[in-house]
Amino acid sequence: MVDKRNMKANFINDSKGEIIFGYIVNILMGICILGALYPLIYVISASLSSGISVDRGQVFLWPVEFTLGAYEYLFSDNAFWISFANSVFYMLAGTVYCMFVSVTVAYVMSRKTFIFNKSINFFILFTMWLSAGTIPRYLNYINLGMSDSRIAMIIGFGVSAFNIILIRNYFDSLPKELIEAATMDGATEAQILRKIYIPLSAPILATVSLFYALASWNSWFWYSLLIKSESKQPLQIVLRRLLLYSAENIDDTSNEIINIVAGAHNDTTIKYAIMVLSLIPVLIVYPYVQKHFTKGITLGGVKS
Amino acid sequence: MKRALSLLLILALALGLIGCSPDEEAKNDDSANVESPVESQVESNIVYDGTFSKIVKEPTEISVFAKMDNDFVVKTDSTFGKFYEEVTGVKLVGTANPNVDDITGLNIHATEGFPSDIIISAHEVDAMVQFASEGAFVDLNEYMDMMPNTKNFFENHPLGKQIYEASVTADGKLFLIAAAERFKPTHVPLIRKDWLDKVGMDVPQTTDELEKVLMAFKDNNLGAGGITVPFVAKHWVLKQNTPTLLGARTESRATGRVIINDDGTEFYHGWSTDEFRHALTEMSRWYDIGIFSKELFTEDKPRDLYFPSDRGGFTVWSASTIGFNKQPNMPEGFELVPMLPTSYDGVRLDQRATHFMRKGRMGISVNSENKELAAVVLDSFLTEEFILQNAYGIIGEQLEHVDTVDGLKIYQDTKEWNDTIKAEYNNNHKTARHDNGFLNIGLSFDVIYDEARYIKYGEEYGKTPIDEIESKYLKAYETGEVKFVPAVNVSFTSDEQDEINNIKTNLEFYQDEIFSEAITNPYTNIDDSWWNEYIKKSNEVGMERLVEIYNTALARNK
Repeated sequence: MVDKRNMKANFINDSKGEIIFGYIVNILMGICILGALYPLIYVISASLSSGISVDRGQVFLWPVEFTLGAYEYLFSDNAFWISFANSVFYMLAGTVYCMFVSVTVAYVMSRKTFIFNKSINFFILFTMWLSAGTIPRYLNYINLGMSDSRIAMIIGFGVSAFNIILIRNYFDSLPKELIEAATMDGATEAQILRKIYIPLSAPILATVSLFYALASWNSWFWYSLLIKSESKQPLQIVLRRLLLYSAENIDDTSNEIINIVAGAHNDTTIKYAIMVLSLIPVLIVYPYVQKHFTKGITLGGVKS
Repeated sequence: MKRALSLLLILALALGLIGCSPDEEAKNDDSANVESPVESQVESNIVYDGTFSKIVKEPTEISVFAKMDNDFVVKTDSTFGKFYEEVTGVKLVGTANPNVDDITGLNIHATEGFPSDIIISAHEVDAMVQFASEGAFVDLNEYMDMMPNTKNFFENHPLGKQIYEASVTADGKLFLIAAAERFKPTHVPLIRKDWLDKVGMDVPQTTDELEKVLMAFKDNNLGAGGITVPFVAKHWVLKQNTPTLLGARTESRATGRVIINDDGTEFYHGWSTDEFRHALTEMSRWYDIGIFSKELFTEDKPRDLYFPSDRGGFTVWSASTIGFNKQPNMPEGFELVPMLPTSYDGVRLDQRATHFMRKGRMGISVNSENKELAAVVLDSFLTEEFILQNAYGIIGEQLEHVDTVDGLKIYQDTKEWNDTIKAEYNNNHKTARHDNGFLNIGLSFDVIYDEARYIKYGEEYGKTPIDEIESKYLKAYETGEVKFVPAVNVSFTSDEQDEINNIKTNLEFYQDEIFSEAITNPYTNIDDSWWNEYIKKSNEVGMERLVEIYNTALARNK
């Protein structure tokens, strides 16, 4: 229980300068929080406003001409649900696959008695320093038949050297005596990994899972190059296309008058509605891993 | 021992990678000596007679990379694709990536070696010509006997000869067919009639009058909430649409910033003339005195921002801007009226009219395994029935013939299709059509001997605001009241095209940067030393050399 009397006593004992400093810090933090929160509030408000009011810049804080038109349009659009489901699939399947690969590779890298330990460590680190570049990578993916394939998008992008190093470092920090005891009891490598390393590594595993999940959810570049079918596109591609298409086409020679229906959504509000909906999975996942996050980052970064 | 084992592992991996790569030489040798079974099958399968009907005996498919306007691509199994397959027996398999922009999509396809049979790009003309010069496409002259529509078009259409000259290379090869579209105005000046009435002035006829009108809008603070933007613009409006109001020709639709002089004898760079310097200085002065918005280089949609909010007075933009007059919730009395470009030194000038050869290129990939089939399919793209229906809809389903006016057949959207557009596409006809595969690839609809016209559901032919603007301008072009920037066909050698592409990218990047700097800084900065430095740097980047290449090509083509 917080000792409020001691807190008050401490506060009274603070010098005037420290009190003022405290207020200044609080004000600055408040400004930072507002700066971070306001765009989110604006996006939510704009998604709930009419298209005309958003285009006219009338939305500042609260929705203007409140309408759920953009959300109704999206929820009635199969393409949106398909892309949303694709994003969820890529995120979940991708995270599971990435974690499987990362944990097993990190385990091998942490076992100093393994004969090729140094070589594997070198190869993994090497990929962090040097990359073939976009075009060779693209051609490699095409030649491997990874164009327009869901499974290929998961398998082809499974390994992050940085995350493997994080997990490896955490494994290195675990007490060696546990492994020795398990080995003496006749445990196999798989059992050591499954029953000792993984249970003790919850913080780093949660952290790295979050990294993979967020990276998968937010990524669009390789999806835009390799996925052509609309049925396989993730949400970020749909959002990007909406952003690109809604930009005014300076070369428009069609002279086609586009009529706007009053009070309805338009491309702008649909864009904002997609942004809001794309935040939801992140908001759901994050609280569960938050408690592990800070611990995982710092412990993973420190070599024992 | 460990080191040796590591080296052994690396060697094994390397050998494995090398071993996995395909044997290109063997493949090439085989293809040179043995006739492809696909080709021989295709040869006997073709029954094309030059009309939009059955092309093949047995159903087959052909791959088409066709990209226009970013995410509009030929899609396999689109509504139009299925119609085409039903009529001709050929399934069009779309291979373009809709998720990347046009040039990225084309370049990605090029890195794969143009594996598709037919390649079409609506906007990346320079890139397509460059690839053609590097041998990416077949010479269509070899297949002309199988392409009666193409031959007929080149020989008999009023624009056929010019399109042929625009398509053929300096040494007579026909790698690409230039797409074309009807000559018409696109970006026109539009001014607030209600604001003119408030300040008691008429539609300005000269640029001096225009400046007085715009300053009157500003000085009388006609904009709502104390914000008045007399001239609503974006950066490209200043670069492309505004110089002509100030007496400068700076670009042509056909050849970009390198333009031909009046008598067609010599090319020059539109951004190197005294007229351009004067126009730049005036635009900078207009920026200083508040005729433009200070945020014009960063605003996203200034038309949507300033007209509905009753803050904008004038613009030079696509004719569709007149549509604001009919939009809901516009300010009371809001009325934009079109006007001819204001005259400067007695001349009204327009450089935004479309040029027939602007719209793109199409060809057959040299790596196609179905070149003859691709040739007849390409030829079918040039039939009247294909062009009309590919652009607007299938007759009987999306389109119906409603009238004939002076020999012109008038086609209109059906009610059912119109209802679908409203319900599923937010009333956006273009998106609705493109999403269903009606892509307007190849030739633009109205180029066909002017025998047909398309109008939207409920419209009366020739009576929309756009029709009125177009006929006003076409009349003005015809009588010479408005001069438009001419274009001339030139074709380049492969080396020349290489050099043009290299210079143009760097030059435009530099000039666009300098342009922004000149506009946003005080106009008095544009003095002799500034100008001389700009010309010197532009020439270092390659401006003079670029013009030289064009003039060499011009001399050769004569």
